[in-house]
Amino acid sequence: MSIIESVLESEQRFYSAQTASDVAELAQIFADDLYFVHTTGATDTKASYLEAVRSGRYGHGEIYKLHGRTLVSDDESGAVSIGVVDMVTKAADQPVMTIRIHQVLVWERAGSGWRLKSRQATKQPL
Amino acid sequence: MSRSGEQAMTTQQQILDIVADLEKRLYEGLEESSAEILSEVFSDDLVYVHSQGIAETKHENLVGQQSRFFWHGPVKRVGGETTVYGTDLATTVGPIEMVDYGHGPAYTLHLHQTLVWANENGTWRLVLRVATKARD
Repeated sequence: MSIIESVLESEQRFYSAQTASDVAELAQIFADDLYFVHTTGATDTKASYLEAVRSGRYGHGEIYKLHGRTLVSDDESGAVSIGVVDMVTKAADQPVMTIRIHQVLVWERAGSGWRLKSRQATKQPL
Repeated sequence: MSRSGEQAMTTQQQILDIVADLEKRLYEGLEESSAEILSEVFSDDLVYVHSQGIAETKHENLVGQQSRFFWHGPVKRVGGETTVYGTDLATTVGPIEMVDYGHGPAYTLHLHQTLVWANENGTWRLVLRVATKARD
Protein backbone atom coordinates (compact mmCIF):
# COMPACT_ATOMS: atom_id res chain seq x y z
CA MET A 1 0.00 0.00 0.00
CA SER A 2 1.35 3.44 -0.92
CA ILE A 3 1.45 6.24 1.61
CA ILE A 4 -1.37 8.05 -0.24
CA GLU A 5 -3.46 4.88 -0.14
CA SER A 6 -2.91 4.63 3.63
CA VAL A 7 -4.29 8.17 4.09
CA LEU A 8 -7.28 7.40 1.88
CA GLU A 9 -7.88 4.23 3.86
CA SER A 10 -7.96 6.26 7.09
CA GLU A 11 -10.33 8.71 5.45
CA GLN A 12 -12.70 5.89 4.46
CA ARG A 13 -12.44 4.46 7.96
CA PHE A 14 -13.48 7.87 9.31
CA TYR A 15 -16.54 8.01 7.02
CA SER A 16 -17.55 4.46 7.93
CA ALA A 17 -17.26 5.24 11.65
CA GLN A 18 -19.35 8.39 11.22
CA THR A 19 -22.03 6.46 9.32
CA ALA A 20 -22.07 3.73 11.97
CA SER A 21 -21.92 6.23 14.87
CA ASP A 22 -19.09 4.05 16.13
CA VAL A 23 -17.77 6.03 19.09
CA ALA A 24 -14.95 3.58 19.89
CA GLU A 25 -13.69 3.67 16.31
CA LEU A 26 -13.93 7.47 16.12
CA ALA A 27 -11.97 7.71 19.37
CA GLN A 28 -9.21 5.70 17.71
CA ILE A 29 -9.25 7.86 14.60
CA PHE A 30 -9.26 11.26 16.32
CA ALA A 31 -6.14 12.91 17.73
CA ASP A 32 -6.54 14.02 21.33
CA ASP A 33 -6.31 17.67 20.26
CA LEU A 34 -8.85 17.33 17.44
CA TYR A 35 -10.33 20.59 16.11
CA PHE A 36 -13.59 19.84 14.30
CA VAL A 37 -15.43 22.60 12.42
CA HIS A 38 -18.95 21.83 11.17
CA THR A 39 -20.60 23.53 8.20
CA THR A 40 -22.77 25.41 10.71
CA GLY A 41 -19.66 27.03 12.18
CA ALA A 42 -20.00 25.06 15.38
CA THR A 43 -16.79 23.53 16.66
CA ASP A 44 -16.03 20.40 18.63
CA THR A 45 -13.18 18.91 20.58
CA LYS A 46 -12.64 15.16 20.53
CA ALA A 47 -14.59 14.78 23.79
CA SER A 48 -17.54 16.95 22.75
CA TYR A 49 -17.82 15.30 19.33
CA LEU A 50 -17.78 11.79 20.76
CA GLU A 51 -20.37 12.74 23.37
CA ALA A 52 -22.63 14.17 20.65
CA VAL A 53 -22.38 10.93 18.66
CA ARG A 54 -22.96 8.85 21.78
CA SER A 55 -26.09 10.85 22.68
CA GLY A 56 -27.48 10.74 19.14
CA ARG A 57 -27.22 14.49 18.54
CA TYR A 58 -24.90 13.76 15.60
CA GLY A 59 -25.66 11.07 13.09
CA HIS A 60 -24.79 10.38 9.47
CA GLY A 61 -25.97 8.26 6.62
CA GLU A 62 -23.80 7.58 3.63
CA ILE A 63 -20.73 9.74 3.11
CA TYR A 64 -19.24 9.78 -0.38
CA LYS A 65 -16.22 11.69 -1.64
CA LEU A 66 -16.79 12.93 -5.18
CA HIS A 67 -13.29 14.16 -5.90
CA GLY A 68 -10.24 15.63 -4.24
CA ARG A 69 -6.56 15.22 -3.69
CA THR A 70 -4.19 14.18 -0.94
CA LEU A 71 -0.86 15.73 0.02
CA VAL A 72 1.70 13.93 2.20
CA SER A 73 4.79 15.59 3.68
CA ASP A 74 8.19 14.38 2.55
CA ASP A 75 8.88 12.75 5.93
CA GLU A 76 5.37 11.23 5.99
CA SER A 77 4.59 12.85 9.36
CA GLY A 78 1.54 14.71 8.11
CA ALA A 79 -1.04 14.62 5.36
CA VAL A 80 -3.93 16.70 4.08
CA SER A 81 -7.01 15.45 2.26
CA ILE A 82 -8.98 18.01 0.30
CA GLY A 83 -12.23 17.23 -1.42
CA VAL A 84 -15.87 17.62 -2.21
CA VAL A 85 -18.06 15.25 -0.24
CA ASP A 86 -21.74 14.31 -0.27
CA MET A 87 -22.97 13.59 3.23
CA VAL A 88 -26.33 12.46 4.55
CA THR A 89 -26.93 14.12 7.91
CA LYS A 90 -29.19 12.63 10.56
CA ALA A 91 -28.90 15.06 13.42
CA ALA A 92 -31.40 14.65 16.24
CA ASP A 93 -34.62 16.66 15.77
CA GLN A 94 -33.59 17.60 12.23
CA PRO A 95 -34.86 16.25 8.91
CA VAL A 96 -32.56 13.81 7.13
CA MET A 97 -30.86 15.61 4.28
CA THR A 98 -27.95 15.35 1.91
CA ILE A 99 -25.45 18.18 1.85
CA ARG A 100 -22.49 18.75 -0.47
CA ILE A 101 -19.44 20.12 1.30
CA HIS A 102 -15.90 21.25 0.73
CA GLN A 103 -13.82 19.46 3.32
CA VAL A 104 -10.24 19.53 4.50
CA LEU A 105 -8.86 16.81 6.75
CA VAL A 106 -5.45 17.20 8.42
CA TRP A 107 -3.81 13.95 9.47
CA GLU A 108 -0.85 13.28 11.74
CA ARG A 109 1.21 10.13 11.66
CA ALA A 110 0.63 7.80 14.63
CA GLY A 111 2.70 4.65 14.45
CA SER A 112 1.79 2.87 11.25
CA GLY A 113 -1.49 4.75 10.91
CA TRP A 114 -2.92 8.26 10.95
CA ARG A 115 -4.85 10.36 13.46
CA LEU A 116 -7.25 13.13 12.44
CA LYS A 117 -5.96 16.42 13.85
CA SER A 118 -8.46 18.78 12.27
CA ARG A 119 -11.50 18.73 10.04
CA GLN A 120 -13.21 21.74 8.53
CA ALA A 121 -16.19 21.77 6.19
CA THR A 122 -18.10 24.44 4.29
CA LYS A 123 -21.44 23.78 2.63
CA GLN A 124 -21.60 24.32 -1.11
CA PRO A 125 -24.32 26.73 -2.24
CA LEU A 126 -27.38 25.13 -3.86
CA MET B 1 20.81 17.22 21.57
CA SER B 2 22.41 15.79 18.47
CA ARG B 3 23.59 18.06 15.69
CA SER B 4 20.98 16.62 13.35
CA GLY B 5 18.36 17.37 16.01
CA GLU B 6 19.48 20.99 16.18
CA GLN B 7 19.33 21.26 12.41
CA ALA B 8 15.86 19.77 12.32
CA MET B 9 14.61 22.31 14.86
CA THR B 10 16.22 25.17 12.97
CA THR B 11 14.63 24.01 9.75
CA GLN B 12 11.21 23.82 11.33
CA GLN B 13 11.57 27.31 12.81
CA GLN B 14 12.69 28.63 9.46
CA ILE B 15 9.61 27.14 7.83
CA LEU B 16 7.38 28.61 10.54
CA ASP B 17 8.92 32.02 9.83
CA ILE B 18 8.41 31.64 6.08
CA VAL B 19 4.80 30.58 6.50
CA ALA B 20 4.12 33.38 9.01
CA ASP B 21 5.44 35.88 6.48
CA LEU B 22 3.34 34.33 3.71
CA GLU B 23 0.23 34.43 5.87
CA LYS B 24 0.89 38.12 6.52
CA ARG B 25 1.33 38.68 2.77
CA LEU B 26 -1.92 36.81 2.10
CA TYR B 27 -3.84 39.14 4.39
CA GLU B 28 -2.10 42.19 2.90
CA GLY B 29 -2.95 40.97 -0.58
CA LEU B 30 -6.58 40.44 0.33
CA GLU B 31 -6.86 43.84 2.01
CA GLU B 32 -5.23 45.60 -0.93
CA SER B 33 -6.96 43.43 -3.57
CA SER B 34 -3.43 43.05 -4.93
CA ALA B 35 -3.17 40.51 -7.73
CA GLU B 36 0.60 41.03 -7.66
CA ILE B 37 0.95 39.98 -4.02
CA LEU B 38 -1.64 37.22 -4.19
CA SER B 39 -0.26 35.69 -7.38
CA GLU B 40 3.04 35.23 -5.54
CA VAL B 41 1.38 33.70 -2.49
CA PHE B 42 -0.99 31.40 -4.41
CA SER B 43 0.00 28.07 -5.92
CA ASP B 44 -1.06 27.56 -9.52
CA ASP B 45 -3.12 24.66 -8.13
CA LEU B 46 -4.83 26.78 -5.48
CA VAL B 47 -8.33 25.92 -4.31
CA TYR B 48 -9.84 28.91 -2.49
CA VAL B 49 -13.12 28.19 -0.69
CA HIS B 50 -15.09 31.20 0.50
CA SER B 51 -17.31 31.01 3.55
CA GLN B 52 -20.33 31.06 1.21
CA GLY B 53 -19.11 27.73 -0.18
CA ILE B 54 -17.91 29.11 -3.51
CA ALA B 55 -14.66 27.44 -4.61
CA GLU B 56 -12.24 29.25 -6.91
CA THR B 57 -9.04 28.55 -8.79
CA LYS B 58 -6.11 30.95 -8.56
CA HIS B 59 -7.19 32.70 -11.76
CA GLU B 60 -10.81 33.03 -10.66
CA ASN B 61 -9.81 34.47 -7.30
CA LEU B 62 -7.44 37.01 -8.82
CA VAL B 63 -10.13 38.17 -11.24
CA GLY B 64 -12.57 38.46 -8.33
CA GLN B 65 -10.08 40.49 -6.31
CA GLN B 66 -9.43 42.89 -9.17
CA SER B 67 -13.14 43.41 -9.85
CA ARG B 68 -13.66 43.83 -6.08
CA PHE B 69 -16.43 41.27 -6.14
CA PHE B 70 -14.61 40.16 -3.01
CA TRP B 71 -13.44 43.35 -1.30
CA HIS B 72 -11.82 43.00 2.08
CA GLY B 73 -10.62 45.34 4.78
CA PRO B 74 -8.19 44.23 7.46
CA VAL B 75 -7.82 40.49 8.03
CA LYS B 76 -6.25 39.04 11.16
CA ARG B 77 -5.98 35.63 12.73
CA VAL B 78 -7.17 35.65 16.33
CA GLY B 79 -6.17 32.15 17.44
CA GLY B 80 -4.97 28.79 16.27
CA GLU B 81 -1.55 27.79 15.09
CA THR B 82 0.69 26.74 12.24
CA THR B 83 1.98 23.18 12.18
CA VAL B 84 4.88 22.07 9.98
CA TYR B 85 5.14 18.55 8.56
CA GLY B 86 8.51 17.52 7.15
CA THR B 87 10.07 20.17 4.94
CA ASP B 88 7.31 20.64 2.40
CA LEU B 89 3.87 20.80 4.06
CA ALA B 90 2.33 23.06 6.68
CA THR B 91 -1.15 23.94 7.90
CA THR B 92 -2.50 27.04 9.61
CA VAL B 93 -5.76 26.37 11.43
CA GLY B 94 -7.71 28.86 13.49
CA PRO B 95 -10.26 31.66 13.69
CA ILE B 96 -9.88 34.90 11.77
CA GLU B 97 -11.64 38.24 11.61
CA MET B 98 -12.13 39.73 8.18
CA VAL B 99 -13.73 43.05 7.32
CA ASP B 100 -15.95 42.81 4.25
CA TYR B 101 -16.57 45.85 2.05
CA GLY B 102 -17.99 44.02 -0.95
CA HIS B 103 -21.55 43.40 0.12
CA GLY B 104 -23.07 46.61 1.46
CA PRO B 105 -21.94 48.41 4.61
CA ALA B 106 -18.62 47.22 6.03
CA TYR B 107 -18.92 44.49 8.60
CA THR B 108 -16.60 42.05 10.35
CA LEU B 109 -16.84 38.40 9.44
CA HIS B 110 -15.85 35.87 12.09
CA LEU B 111 -14.53 32.81 10.30
CA HIS B 112 -12.85 29.49 10.93
CA GLN B 113 -10.04 29.04 8.47
CA THR B 114 -7.70 26.28 7.32
CA LEU B 115 -4.72 27.22 5.17
CA VAL B 116 -2.54 24.54 3.58
CA TRP B 117 0.96 25.50 2.49
CA ALA B 118 3.29 23.45 0.30
CA ASN B 119 6.90 23.84 -0.73
CA GLU B 120 6.76 23.71 -4.52
CA ASN B 121 10.24 23.29 -5.95
CA GLY B 122 11.79 25.42 -3.23
CA THR B 123 9.08 28.06 -2.98
CA TRP B 124 6.32 27.98 -0.38
CA ARG B 125 2.81 28.65 -1.70
CA LEU B 126 -0.78 28.51 -0.51
CA VAL B 127 -2.46 25.45 -2.04
CA LEU B 128 -5.76 25.53 -0.12
CA ARG B 129 -7.84 27.99 1.83
CA VAL B 130 -11.16 26.94 3.36
CA ALA B 131 -13.30 29.35 5.37
CA THR B 132 -16.44 28.59 7.37
CA LYS B 133 -18.56 31.27 8.97
CA ALA B 134 -18.37 30.96 12.75
CA ARG B 135 -21.57 30.43 14.66
CA ASP B 136 -22.90 33.71 16.08
